[in-house]
Amino acid sequence: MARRLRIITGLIIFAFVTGHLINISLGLWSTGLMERARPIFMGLWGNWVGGTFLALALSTHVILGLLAIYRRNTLQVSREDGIQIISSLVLLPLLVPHFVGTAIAAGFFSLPQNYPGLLLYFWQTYPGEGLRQVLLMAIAWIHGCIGLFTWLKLQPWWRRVAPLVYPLAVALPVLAMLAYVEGGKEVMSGQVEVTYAQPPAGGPGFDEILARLETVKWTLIWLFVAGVAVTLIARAWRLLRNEGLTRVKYVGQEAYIAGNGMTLLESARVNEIPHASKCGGRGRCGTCRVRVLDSSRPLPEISEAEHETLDRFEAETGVRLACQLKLAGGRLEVERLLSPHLVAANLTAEAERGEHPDRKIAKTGAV
Amino acid sequence: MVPAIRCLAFLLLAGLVMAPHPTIAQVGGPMLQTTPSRTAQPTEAADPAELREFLRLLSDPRIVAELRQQLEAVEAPDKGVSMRMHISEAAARIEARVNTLISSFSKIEEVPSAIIRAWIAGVKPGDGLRGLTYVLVFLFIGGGLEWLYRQYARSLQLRLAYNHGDTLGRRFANALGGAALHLTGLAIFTGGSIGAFLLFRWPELTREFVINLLITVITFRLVGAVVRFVLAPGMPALRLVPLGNVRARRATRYVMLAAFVGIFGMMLTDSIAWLGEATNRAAELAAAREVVPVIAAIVFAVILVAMNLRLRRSRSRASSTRSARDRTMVILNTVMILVVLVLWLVGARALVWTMIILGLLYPAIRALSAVVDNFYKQAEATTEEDRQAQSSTEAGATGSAMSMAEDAPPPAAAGGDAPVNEAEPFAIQRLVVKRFVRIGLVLAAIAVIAWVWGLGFLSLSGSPSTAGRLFRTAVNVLVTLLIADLVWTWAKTAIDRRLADYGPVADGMAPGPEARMATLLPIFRMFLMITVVVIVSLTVLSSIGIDIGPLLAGAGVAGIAIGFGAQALVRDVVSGIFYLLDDAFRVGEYIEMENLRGTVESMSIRSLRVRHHLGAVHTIPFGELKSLTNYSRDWVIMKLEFRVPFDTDLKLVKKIVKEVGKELQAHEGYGQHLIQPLKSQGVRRMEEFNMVIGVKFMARPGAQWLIRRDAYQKLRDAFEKNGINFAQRNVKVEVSSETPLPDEVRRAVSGAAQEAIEKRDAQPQPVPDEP
Repeated sequence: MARRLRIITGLIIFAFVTGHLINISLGLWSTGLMERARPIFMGLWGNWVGGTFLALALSTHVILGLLAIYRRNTLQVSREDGIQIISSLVLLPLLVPHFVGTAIAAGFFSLPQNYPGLLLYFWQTYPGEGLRQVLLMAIAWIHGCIGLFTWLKLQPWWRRVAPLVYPLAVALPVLAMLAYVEGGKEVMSGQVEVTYAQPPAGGPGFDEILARLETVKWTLIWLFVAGVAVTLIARAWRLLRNEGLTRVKYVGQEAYIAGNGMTLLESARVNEIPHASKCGGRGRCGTCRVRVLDSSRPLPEISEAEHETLDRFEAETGVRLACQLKLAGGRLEVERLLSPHLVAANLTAEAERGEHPDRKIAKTGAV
Repeated sequence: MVPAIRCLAFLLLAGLVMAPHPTIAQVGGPMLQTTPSRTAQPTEAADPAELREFLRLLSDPRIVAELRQQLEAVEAPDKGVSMRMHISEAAARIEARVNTLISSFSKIEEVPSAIIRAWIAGVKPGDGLRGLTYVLVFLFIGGGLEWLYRQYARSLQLRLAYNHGDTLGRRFANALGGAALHLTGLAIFTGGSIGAFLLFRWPELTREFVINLLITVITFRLVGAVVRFVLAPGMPALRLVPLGNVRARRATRYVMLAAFVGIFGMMLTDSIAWLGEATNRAAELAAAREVVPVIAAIVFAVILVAMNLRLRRSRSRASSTRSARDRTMVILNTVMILVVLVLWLVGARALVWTMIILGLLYPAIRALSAVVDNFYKQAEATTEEDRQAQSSTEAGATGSAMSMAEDAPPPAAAGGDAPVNEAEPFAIQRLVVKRFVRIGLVLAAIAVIAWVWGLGFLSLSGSPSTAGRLFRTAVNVLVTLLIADLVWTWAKTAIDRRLADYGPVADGMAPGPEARMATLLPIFRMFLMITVVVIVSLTVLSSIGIDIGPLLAGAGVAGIAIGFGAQALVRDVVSGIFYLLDDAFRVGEYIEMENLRGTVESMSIRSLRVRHHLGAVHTIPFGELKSLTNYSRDWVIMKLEFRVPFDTDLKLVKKIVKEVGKELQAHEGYGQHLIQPLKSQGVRRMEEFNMVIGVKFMARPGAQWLIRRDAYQKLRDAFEKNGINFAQRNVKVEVSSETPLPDEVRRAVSGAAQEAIEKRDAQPQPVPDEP
């Protein structure tokens, strides 16, 4: 459930970011067009309902991400997962100033922003903020794309569609960045009349609003930092509590000893035993299947998600998913059922035949 | 071999160090050339009037002063460029450089503020951050395009990465293809970022700033691409250097860190330089310009030393036998790095390069030979990936070479004297390639060192100066040694390989044709070694300048004398070699020469030892052999004869022989030695009292005696069983009288018959032919 929710919230945020970037791309023509098109792309999220929905999706996504970090037993992860973790930690502090300056200011203090004004702010007044914006955009897009593609990779139709989607995934942020640069030059040259919204009469003054916004911004950032700290401490505590060791032996590899509580896949990664895992340890793809040859203690129960995946491959008893199998002490001897390099070996073959990789992976025999 | 190269390289270095000093050239040049012209003797007797005039001129003090002045002017440059002067000049330069450094470092706390002030003066507020923003945007664009390219190129790349070629060419093509794919990605990245950069107009300073940053990133990535190509941290199968996974990753990390420090330092120095020029604050920034590269260099050196230590430690853990040697190498490398750093700091650029090249030469040879080994090893291995990965890890664990500034002991099989066997089809090729690589590297190192010192590689060797001669000699000797090494290694490996193919002869079996090669090859190898050694020493002597003519003549005279004296011996040896080449006999064969016969027991280089079947041993010099009969080759035919009465049923005989033949063939002891079975040839001839039936069979040499024995025995038994009697010698005495003969007469008759029989028996016996 949590995983599905993470994908759904991620998709919502991704849709918002995509619309936002398309809107910015229009700045390649003129900042005026960019501003005029704003209601089309951003209108959906600008009202109370959309805004709340988006904020909910974002906070859910963040909390679920922190939970995932909490659940990880090792930080020695695949390259893509590493990028995801680091970018997720960096993203929120980068995002908060922008979020506070636009959404909160418009929603709570009736200070709506417009593109030319923001561009001038980013390029002229506070170039540091402009730099932050570019970083935010790049990192957010990379984070989103990795997440999206990791999910899409397992869809049967993805192989056919992917070559058409990849150029879009590059073109959109590139165009948006170029538009950002171009718009910045345009507003800096002074050709565009830039108007700033004034705080409504009767309310707090401009400076006071700014000060409050600043407070909100730092509160949010510190909240996030505290959340991360709590997550890490809790994780460390959880790992410390995991007493006992398991001696794991992969057929044809050196035996190693790993702490309990880790999944088998994580322990294999830490000990540099190559292991196929297409979905990155989310229990979906089934490529990390192993046959348990010997175990000195009863293995943990098969969870529902694991059952589902195993059933898909009509796996016999004794076959488990390495990414779901938690080490529980004693001795464990297992055999990989798929070649660790299957990604490569099969992808090429399937790309030629145009077959769905999943089916093939299911039928590929033992190593 | 390698220490020899080192020695020579040092000699070479000595020559080079002296070479750029004009002293030697001056000493050898003007002195020798101008002095004779000044003191040249007049060829004709001097005219008295001219002598008088000369005396008059000499007595004139003005002329004398003038001459003295000229003499001083001629001598002055000689004095000015003496070695001592040159060294003191260099010392002064170094001192000045050190003083600059010290004064720069004494102002180190002002450096950041000076840079900041210049930055503020040169760059509009916000322009720096804006420039950084631009750089980020451009890098993102380049990176995005590259990512896109990689998505499409991935399947091709994976195919290259996971299809291990069976053949060498295929492997090489794969490696090159992978590198080309990677470099194309890098080119797209470069094109994307620089292209985006060119789309915009820039203020001068921001432009410099942005392009400097872009170049830094691109250079760094280029270094990364090369490192990836060589070390392939993630893919053991693609790795050119035999390192384990862990160490390859570690080495990659260190090299990349060092590259980052180096490139960033250079970028920073350059930026400070242009900032100083653009804002007219060059003087203020002078200290910064000195300090920044020095700090970068120190950090760089520290990283290298750390890498040196880290990589070594993991290996010495792997094998304790190498640890002592490793420790020495670690110390050597560390000292090397520090020495280079110090030399660089004091500004002795040429020495820095010389040190680097000399220091890298040995490790580079080791590393490249390990690369060649690894390459061939992987080409030979057609096993699955996992095993390959394991072997690669093992190769790394047992110790091998690594690239860059580090040295390593060779992997177990890297040495030139590595044992070779059938499992390595490329053994000879591999060794030759390694030798070529070594020659190429040494020559390249010499050329680069000469170039660093500002000397033409060719012009120097042509110059008549001492340095030039030293240089030429050193190069001659070096190249001779390298080529001799190449030839010797190649020949030795080829011979050893052939010898290793011939296993020891199994007991009781006659040695095959390889025995003859096994006799010949060591002789040939020795001969080759002597030839190579003699030629090399003569070449070396002649390039050192020693006249080898008398040596050659002496050797010739001695050769002739020995040749005459040992004529017979030489004839024996040479004809022995040719008999061996003809494969006329082998150990264990039964041969006959003129009137001697027997089994070959042994061969020496001069003679043949044959044992007669009665035990006598003959020793025959090869030179005495005229013709030779070998009874042990391929097959022999044995013919048997039986005498039977005229009334014998020939068809029955044929049937019996056939059956006995089958029986013989089925015999487990010698059945397989029968090439053609026993068969009857029918009646061979008619005699007075009987017919002669011929029987023959074909068998392997040596087995015929046993088969003949059994054949006789079995045939006799079979004949007897079938009622065929062998013809008896009988004398029929016809008595015409009807009355019985009296006893005396009968006795006389039988006596006459006996005489007839004995007369027949007195015929000469055949020579026994069985050994």
